[in-house]
Amino acid sequence: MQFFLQAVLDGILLGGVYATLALGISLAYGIMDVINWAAGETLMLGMYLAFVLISSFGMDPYATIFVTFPVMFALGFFMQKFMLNGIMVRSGHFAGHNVLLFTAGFSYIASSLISIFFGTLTKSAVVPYANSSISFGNFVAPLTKLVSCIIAVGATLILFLFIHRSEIGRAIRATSQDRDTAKLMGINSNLMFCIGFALSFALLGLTASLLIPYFPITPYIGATFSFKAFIIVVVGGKGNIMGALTGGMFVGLVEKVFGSMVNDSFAQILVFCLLILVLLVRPDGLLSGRHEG
Amino acid sequence: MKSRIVLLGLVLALCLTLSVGCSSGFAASPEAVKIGVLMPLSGANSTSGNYQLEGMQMAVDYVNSHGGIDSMGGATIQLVTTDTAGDIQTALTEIQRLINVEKVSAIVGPFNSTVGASTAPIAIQYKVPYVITNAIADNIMQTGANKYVYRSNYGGSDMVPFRSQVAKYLASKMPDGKLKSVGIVYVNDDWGKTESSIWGDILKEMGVAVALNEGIANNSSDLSSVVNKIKSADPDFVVCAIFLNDAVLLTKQMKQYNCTVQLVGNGTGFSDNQYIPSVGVENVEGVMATRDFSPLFGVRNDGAKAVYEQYLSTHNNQQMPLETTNGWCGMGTMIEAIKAAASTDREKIADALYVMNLDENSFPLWFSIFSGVKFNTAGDAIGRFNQNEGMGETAGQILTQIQNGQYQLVFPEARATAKVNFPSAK
Repeated sequence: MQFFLQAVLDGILLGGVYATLALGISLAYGIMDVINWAAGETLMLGMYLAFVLISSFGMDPYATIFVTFPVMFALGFFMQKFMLNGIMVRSGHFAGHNVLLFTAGFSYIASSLISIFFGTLTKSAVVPYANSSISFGNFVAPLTKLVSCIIAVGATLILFLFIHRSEIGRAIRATSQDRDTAKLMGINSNLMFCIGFALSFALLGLTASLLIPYFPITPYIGATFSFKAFIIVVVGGKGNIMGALTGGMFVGLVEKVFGSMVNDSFAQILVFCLLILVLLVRPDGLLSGRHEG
Repeated sequence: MKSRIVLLGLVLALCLTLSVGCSSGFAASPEAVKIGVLMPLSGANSTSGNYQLEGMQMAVDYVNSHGGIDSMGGATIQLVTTDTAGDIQTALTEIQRLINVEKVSAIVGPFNSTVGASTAPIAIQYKVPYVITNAIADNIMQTGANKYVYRSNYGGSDMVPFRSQVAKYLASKMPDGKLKSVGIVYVNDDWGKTESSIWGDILKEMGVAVALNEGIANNSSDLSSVVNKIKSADPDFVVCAIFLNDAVLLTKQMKQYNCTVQLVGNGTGFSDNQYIPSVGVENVEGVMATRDFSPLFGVRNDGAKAVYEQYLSTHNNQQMPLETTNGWCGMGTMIEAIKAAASTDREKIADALYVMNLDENSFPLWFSIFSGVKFNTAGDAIGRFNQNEGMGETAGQILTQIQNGQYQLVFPEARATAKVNFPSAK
């Protein structure tokens, strides 16, 4: 029983980080109906930025959030404003396809550039408190995972409030529901797209800072997370903030519980089975009907 | 008009003189020998691929800077490098490009076992000599009798005797001379499954329980469930056949979960230059790893010493990775075949490999403890053809342990640089 409960705890801790990662994809997918295929590589860029800040400037991994979040926000804003908005306007019905292809190209450029500048060798931030853990009786929660999970859940809730309670959040939701009507209402939809995409990048930057204390990096690490994040988006429902959180937790739990009770390979297969099952039964996600845009 | 004809004549004469001069100049230097390289230079195995390519390039640079290939009038060697990304389809395209477009005389590579198994038949089909490096799955060499595909390093089965020696050696260090149980963690690819199967058989033969036998995905995002299983099973040690990223993640997470079970790595993951700095010196004390011999523990002769010191001076005194030494060995073997063939002709090079018999001092073996290179062209007990049978009893393998932040050779004891610390106090 203890073995099972430890797996549940691990699943929740992992799921929290998965949730912010999935949110990064879900926002762009939900608001603009486009898939950022470079989400994994964007995360990788954020991880390298955090790594440089830690190794060259001695920053605390969690303090790098104050750099990775705004820098990645700016990168996302720049990309949407000067590249994607133009592609979307010119592509008409094929906007989604063309953005997908564009971001696929960006993903290749990002990993190639990083491998040129940093090499392909594995890099890892050595953090003084990396081995610290909190024990509750026989249960162990590694400190880095616990802190990462708390920040991730906190960030998700803040984003939820921002999207639902702020003026900009409402404008973003309005744009996602009907771009033309939103325009008629005086909303600058291009700006909302820029903010939405920038937020999506910023969340991936945040996730990068949450992973860097314990996860080794290479220029090709993006793929490790991106497929999983897409599964979470599908499970939770695209653009659904609480869906991303629940989906992340759900996938984390499936991975850890079945990984512990059966084996890791089986758990990974099960996660992909989950994707197929959700697409067959509830293609809008487990929390469909609670679409938040 | 007349002056124009004279001028034209002069220009033509000049061109003719230059062209004759140039062509005779080219004729003086022999044609470079093109060797194709298949290697994962991007993707999940890119670190190992780049290490191995460096070893190959070092062997080529060494020969080129020492007068080229004597038997071919000092011909130099030129590598034509391709990136397989560890992907079978990419590798199949690239090997055919190397053969049909680049017209290489020979091919060396490809690191990944799956890529080796799929590209070997192409080399046989097109009759191109191909020296396999690193890819260890036995089935790669189970291609039937042929004179084109060879493997310079060991295959999965060749690792059995040394793995068995290591298991018995560690058992002998236990208080009652017996192991209670051992865990196995392996990456879900041909190499990992081969290691898992080898260790499973060895432990079964010794009557030791397998506490867990866990396959993981390469580049896992989290290994806490594996760590909890190890912690719960509490074996005497865990054998790990996993790559660097997973080795770093597993060691870090074992520390986080207060799991003190002894790790015994296999292959590259726990021996990589990046392993200790990535995990942190204080977290790797006592970690063991079976690996190929490293020049870190000595070199054959002064020639090898000079190359190794040159390597250290240009690599910030970092040890030469085993992929680099394997790359040197594989490329060196092909170069020796070309020297013996004295030709760029594929058939002649293949013939030279077929009858190759190098002794332990030959330059491909400078950084290994193989006793020679001689291929088993008759096929061995499990149907492998052209496997190097000159590797000695341990197949060039050693067991290391990290002590005070440094790799120490602990087994075979005849070569040991330190005494093993096992079982360590938990």
